[in-house]
Amino acid sequence: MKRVAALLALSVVPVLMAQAPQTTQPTLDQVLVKYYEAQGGLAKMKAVQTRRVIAKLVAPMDITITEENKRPAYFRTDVQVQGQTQSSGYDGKTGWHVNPFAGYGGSKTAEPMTEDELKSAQDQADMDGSLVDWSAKGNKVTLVGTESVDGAPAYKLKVDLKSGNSEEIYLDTDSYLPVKDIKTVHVRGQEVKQEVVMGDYKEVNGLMVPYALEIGMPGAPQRQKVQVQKVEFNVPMDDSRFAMPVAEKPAAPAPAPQPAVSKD
Amino acid sequence: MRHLRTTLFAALLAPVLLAQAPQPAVKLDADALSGLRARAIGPAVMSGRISCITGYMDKGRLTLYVGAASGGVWKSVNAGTTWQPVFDKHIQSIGAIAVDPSNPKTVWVGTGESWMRNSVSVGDGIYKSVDGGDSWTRMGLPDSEHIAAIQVDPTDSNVVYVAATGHLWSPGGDRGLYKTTDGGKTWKRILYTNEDSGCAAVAVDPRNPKVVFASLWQHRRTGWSFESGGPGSGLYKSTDGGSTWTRLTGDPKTGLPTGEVGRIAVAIAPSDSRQVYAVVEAKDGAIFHSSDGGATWVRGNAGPNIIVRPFYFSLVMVDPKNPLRVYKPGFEFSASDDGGKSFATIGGSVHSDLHALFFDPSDPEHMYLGTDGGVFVSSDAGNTWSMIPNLPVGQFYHVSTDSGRPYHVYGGLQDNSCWMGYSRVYLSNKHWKNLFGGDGFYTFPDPTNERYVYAESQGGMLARLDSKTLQGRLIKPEEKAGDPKYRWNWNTPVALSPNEKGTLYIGCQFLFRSRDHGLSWERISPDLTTNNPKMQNQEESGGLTVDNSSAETHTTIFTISESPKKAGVIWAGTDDGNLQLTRNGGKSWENVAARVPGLPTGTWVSWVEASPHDAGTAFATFDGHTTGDMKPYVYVTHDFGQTWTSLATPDLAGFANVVKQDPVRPDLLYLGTENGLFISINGGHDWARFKGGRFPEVPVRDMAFQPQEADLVIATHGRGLWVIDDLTSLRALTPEILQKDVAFLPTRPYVSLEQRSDGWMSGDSDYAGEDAPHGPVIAYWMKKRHMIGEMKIEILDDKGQVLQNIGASKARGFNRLTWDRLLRAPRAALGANPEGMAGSGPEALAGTYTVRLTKNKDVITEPLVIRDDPQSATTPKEREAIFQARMEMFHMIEDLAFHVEQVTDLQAQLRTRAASADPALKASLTALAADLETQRGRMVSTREANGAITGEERLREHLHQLYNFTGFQSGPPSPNQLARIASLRQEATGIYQTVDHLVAQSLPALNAALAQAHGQPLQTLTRAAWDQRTLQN
Repeated sequence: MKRVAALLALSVVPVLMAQAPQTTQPTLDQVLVKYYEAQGGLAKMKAVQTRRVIAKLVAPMDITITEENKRPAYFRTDVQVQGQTQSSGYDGKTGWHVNPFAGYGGSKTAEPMTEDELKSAQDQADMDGSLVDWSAKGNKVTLVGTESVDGAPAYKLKVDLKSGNSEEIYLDTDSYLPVKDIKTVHVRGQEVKQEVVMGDYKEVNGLMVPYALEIGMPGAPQRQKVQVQKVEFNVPMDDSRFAMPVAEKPAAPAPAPQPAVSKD
Repeated sequence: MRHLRTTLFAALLAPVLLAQAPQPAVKLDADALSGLRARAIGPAVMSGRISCITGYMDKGRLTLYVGAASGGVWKSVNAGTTWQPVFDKHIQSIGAIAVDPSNPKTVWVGTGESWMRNSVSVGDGIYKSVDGGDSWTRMGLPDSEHIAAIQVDPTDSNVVYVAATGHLWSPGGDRGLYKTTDGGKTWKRILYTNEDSGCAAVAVDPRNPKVVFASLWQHRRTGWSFESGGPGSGLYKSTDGGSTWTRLTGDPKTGLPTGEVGRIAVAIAPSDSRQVYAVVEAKDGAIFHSSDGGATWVRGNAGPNIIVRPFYFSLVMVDPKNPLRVYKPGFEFSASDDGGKSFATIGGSVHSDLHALFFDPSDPEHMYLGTDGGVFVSSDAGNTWSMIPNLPVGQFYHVSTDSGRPYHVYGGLQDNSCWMGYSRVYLSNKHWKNLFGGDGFYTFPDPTNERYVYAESQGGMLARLDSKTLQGRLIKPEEKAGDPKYRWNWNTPVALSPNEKGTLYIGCQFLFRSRDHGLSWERISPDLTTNNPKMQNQEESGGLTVDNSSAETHTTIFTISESPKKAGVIWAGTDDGNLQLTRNGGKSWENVAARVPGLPTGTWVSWVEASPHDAGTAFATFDGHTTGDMKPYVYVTHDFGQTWTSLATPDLAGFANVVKQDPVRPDLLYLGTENGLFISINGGHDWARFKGGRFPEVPVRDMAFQPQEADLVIATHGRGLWVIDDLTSLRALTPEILQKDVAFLPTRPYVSLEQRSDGWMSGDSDYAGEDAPHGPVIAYWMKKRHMIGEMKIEILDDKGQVLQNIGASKARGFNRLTWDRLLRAPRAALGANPEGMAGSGPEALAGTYTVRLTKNKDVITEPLVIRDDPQSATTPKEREAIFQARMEMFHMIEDLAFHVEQVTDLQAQLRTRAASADPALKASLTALAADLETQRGRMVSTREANGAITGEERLREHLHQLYNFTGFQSGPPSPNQLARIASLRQEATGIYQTVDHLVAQSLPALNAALAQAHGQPLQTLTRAAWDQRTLQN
């Protein structure tokens, strides 16, 4: 009997030890409820009609990024370098971009997006992100488990988007705020992954917004750091800002279609 | 019952109490340590052993999966141009990969290579991915250790067959043919003979998946022998999906061998299921061909490359379209066009030892071949090959460094010779130099003259070479008259004396010492092994196919280490379990192995390391895997081996290969196991797995400290070399620091390296290792991940001015980030087109700066030191001169930007006013705008390019160019450059004066006219207003 007991003890120990540190895994719904709460609540999130985020790259050169969203499905991004602006936008139907940095001398004429880019634009135009009302939007979400992100645990959520792209969203297990997002998009039929690590959350009008972003390829040694300068909610934005621009007259002094430099 | 509960509690509590008593509550864990990044430096030039290749065609694009012997799974979505490792969080030894033909997103990986050589690693079961390799789930067969093949039923994704070869070194475990019918949830063993036999091959008929061929193989390895063949072996066929089987070998009616058989390869022709081939290991082994679905067989070719080394090459492949074209990868590449009767050996320059072959489904002559030296591609059915140059899966045995800057790394690899390369900057394939040949082992520079290198191939074949010319001589000790045969291990130990520069040791069963670079050797020990004759019959080894390549040579010395603290204290560990110590330079020896507690007698001493801090202290690892004992054994002694303490904890995984004590901090230990790298900051009390920089769960076989840079170079057996740059921060990581919310960790002073790589655009398949950061590194520890509120790191000059804000790294635990050493870029003038040549700031001069870390309300600072490259010919004064010249241009660029802005701003006002002015005023306003436009055209390009090259070079373009080009030089500005700066300044001044003159001449009158017309006056932009608008921070 004694020997049996000792044997039993030995065989049980590793099992118990292995299980001890694990806490019960919450359900997807529980995680999502906490996630909405952490953001400031669904009601406040949905009350936002327009959003403008102005950010700068952490780089020797002065590069400003302005990202604008408007419900139901508009977005526009402007990247300003040396007074030149690279833009892309989507008005719910048409996606476009202008790239004065391409090739030798670039171009200031708007070009239509490719089919793959259009899919990503549709994803980007979703103001609340892919998790809010995911089922109604035709997305599929699964809680994969817990993984370490930058040394600390995070809930990993896999989103199969209606567009055909997919997204992995990692929520900090302490704060339930997103800490990492990996988007898998398609470029000419090939899958490309882009990783964004988020931090420095600040409250703006009752909503938590990340003020520090790091962008790169998953696993790459360097990530491009971005610092948000200003976040504005519900400033009026005309629908025309998101439409594909008609060809501009050459030689005119560079127009300033958006605040290049915030004067606050 | 009460008794049982008490025992249970006691057993549970004991280790916990023991662990907690002397230590603070915070334990260094793997996740917190992961911010300490290791960088993979490859190389990929020689690649490494490939065990399996598969793939599929989807919408005209070929996706490939490659399994490396101990280097994980690599995926290419472009037919092999670029590769990604997709299995890094799991065991790296790969036996088989299968893609589900019905759903190619589903991929199966069988771990544990099945090419059963002496150095083969070990797996831990079968894995499944349903997302094309992004994530994996372990699905069972955890005790299989080796898996040879996986076949998915082409008509049913839930039905999968797995050939588990099973344990190589011991009986039992999960071995035989397994089948799942529920996608891997449960497995049933459907073919098995005995506890010494496993399944070596399985082939499912694609037309009728109920027809299955499989071979069982009886085999066993020990440290000193190999046995292939036995009653448990045989070729079997089932016609009911594996419920019942017919043994084909042994039945005279089939025409297959009737005597004892060994390993058997089998393949069904994809284009005709009646045509089946088997390569059978037997006394009368050959390839056999059946034309009736396996009922009867005709003996075919039995040439040397057909029957060669079945444990290593048991593979036969049939052309997907031609059922009579058969390929036999072996030592060489053989092909038959007549169903196996005759074979031609083909193939040009391709690494020998072939283990895998995959046909492009759209063109069978386009094929991928897995060898001991990587993957090769042929588009002419194997006549000529090109190598995939970017699969860094080299299996290093050892690594060393020299004292160069950048320092070199040296190492030897399984079947891939001895190489030297750079630790940084020069990290592409072309920078690696092959020094020797054969299988490569110890390779290191002669400390008396680093131009000369010792390099070793298998069985103690040691040479001393000139690394410039690669000329040299063999210096292996040879038997003298009357000596017994020297027994040299496959991986014979060679060691340098840390006390006598240039003195060298090498061991067979005896230990030898040389004080003249290996020209002569002195025997300084008796036979240090058990000299057990039962372990010395290598000439009989192999079983059905004799195989005596020195890989089984046993009763040898395997590891040597002399104490750096006391000359004459030398440790030697043997493969048969002796751990010997001399304290008098070899005059007398004591075997202390029996004093090691908890260690099975005879366990292979895989490493012994004399402490760099204390003469009586040594560390040892023992490896029992060749007896089936996979536990990690790691011990320390502080009294010259009289007593030993185990440092093994449940944190560890895999049998132990190497242990090193940090040369600076005694309680910092590094342990390499078959399953990864582990670090302890408390003398082995507990361990954290190292996974920084996605360091995989790969066998670690050796490590080298580079003292000048404080680096650690890690030799992995399967994923090449990795460097942990600058251990200074890790050395400072005390238990006290672990408790702090945020604290800086010291780093080595940054000494710049004025060398640039010489790469060019050579395509996406070009491989280069990851370089070290170019710039000073800032390291700190944080107890928690920073989530809420601002966190940033700024660099300040000696006046407290902020030079740069470089963001921050926000991980829990270890954080490191690099300042690129650049100051702010100048504000550049706007023209019609962007001009990028002034896109970065000047490089900060050497000196002491301040790092300021802000984390919400907490602010901490520490100094940051930059030193000049001591190898550079440029003096500090000359550096100051070029810095000042660049700063002068910096200000000229900003002056120009301001003046251009002033002009365009005024032009905009003029145009606005003109729109509502009367004709006369309008004409005056427009005239000034036009005059200003002429001046603007002297300052910047004004023509829209719209994709064209306008070639319009104005002051801006000239100024930016000179600023940019001087950024490459550390030497002083030349007279030519200084003259150019002066002339550009003159040109600028001229333009600004003209503008000022124009404005001064016209503005008062225009403003007067505007005032009369009740218009807004014109205002010129001031520098102060412009600065306020454009300067951040």
